[in-house]
Amino acid sequence: MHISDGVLPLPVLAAGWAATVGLAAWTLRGIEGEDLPRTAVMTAVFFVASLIHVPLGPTSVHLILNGLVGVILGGAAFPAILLGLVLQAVLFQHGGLTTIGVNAVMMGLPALAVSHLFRFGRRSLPGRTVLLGFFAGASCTLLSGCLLALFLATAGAAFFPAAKLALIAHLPVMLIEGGVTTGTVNFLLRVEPKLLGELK
Amino acid sequence: MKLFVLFAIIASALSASPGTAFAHRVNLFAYVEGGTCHVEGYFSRSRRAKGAKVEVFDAAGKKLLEGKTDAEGNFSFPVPKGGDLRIVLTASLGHKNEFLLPAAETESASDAPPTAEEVPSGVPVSTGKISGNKPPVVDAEIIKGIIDDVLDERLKPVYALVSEIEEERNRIGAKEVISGLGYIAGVFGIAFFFAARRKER
Repeated sequence: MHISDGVLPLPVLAAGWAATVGLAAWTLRGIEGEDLPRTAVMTAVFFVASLIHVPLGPTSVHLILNGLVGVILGGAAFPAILLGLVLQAVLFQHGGLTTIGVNAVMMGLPALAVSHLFRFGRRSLPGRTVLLGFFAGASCTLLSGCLLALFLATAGAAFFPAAKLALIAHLPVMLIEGGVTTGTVNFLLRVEPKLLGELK
Repeated sequence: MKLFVLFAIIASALSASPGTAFAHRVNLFAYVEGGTCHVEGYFSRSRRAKGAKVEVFDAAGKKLLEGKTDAEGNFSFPVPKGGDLRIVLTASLGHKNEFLLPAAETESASDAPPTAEEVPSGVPVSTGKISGNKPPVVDAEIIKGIIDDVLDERLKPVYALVSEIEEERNRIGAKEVISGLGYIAGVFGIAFFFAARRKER
């Protein structure tokens, strides 16, 4: 789910960069010293997740794990995903350098949304963390797929066919992401609930 | 300690996935063989880019032709004329890559003499027997054509090998993964430095 160089028109790329810089500046301010170790670990997880390939669908699909990063890190998920994307672009040539802005929005914005949803869900539906974790992982992939289709639509591709393809291609990924996210989150809740942040 | 456990989990997940899974971006490779240019598009060794759009541009950026890859991720077209060719492959969902075919390769192809099959029937082809007093008429062009045919046939495994090496080169290995993890550790080390300094004040 990385957009390559030369696919999108220039104004969209510029808007992506502007949104990314704004979101990064806003989320970085909220990071405390004690958040750093888990942010580092989740950055590493996100960085390597894209190498785990799901051999299904008509195009190349891999794990994203932005939902898991969002649930565990909250606001710090955005800079973590941004750093992961920069390293993926430079070292793996996944996506392009000019598209880091749009790619960060595509994967980081759903992560932020899902982290809020998960926190809200934990407060209003305590004890349903298995379901919530699955929903967080799967819906994050879904949201990213919708954003991908939206971005591709600005490049002249018709929105609905592109969205349909993105959805079909990412359906197996959604299920796997949901499973991985709920498994990891519930393991952490049992072993080290502090990692997921205090419930206020 | 917990960090170490997480890293161990990542490392084991990576080592468990087969090497061929280490590819995501779309790659392409092109070569000229007897006036035909062959394009191969692939995500990884086992996953070809099926039905991807192929566009061919000349050195001035003018689009010469376009087509789609077949189920094997291959696409072939007759080499239009000399000069650099830029081949752009667009797969679905925002995957794109390009390949530059240098003029040296395309020119040798477009100047290629007619191959043995294309030789007009009226031209006498030597049978090796000397009939009468006349020496056999052997046109240099025809010999060149035959040699080209034979060479293309002989070089087929070499073309295949080169494209395989190219695929190997594009694969992501442990080196990239480890250096990425190192960068992450470094960036967060710097972040720790600033966080600690902020605390001191």
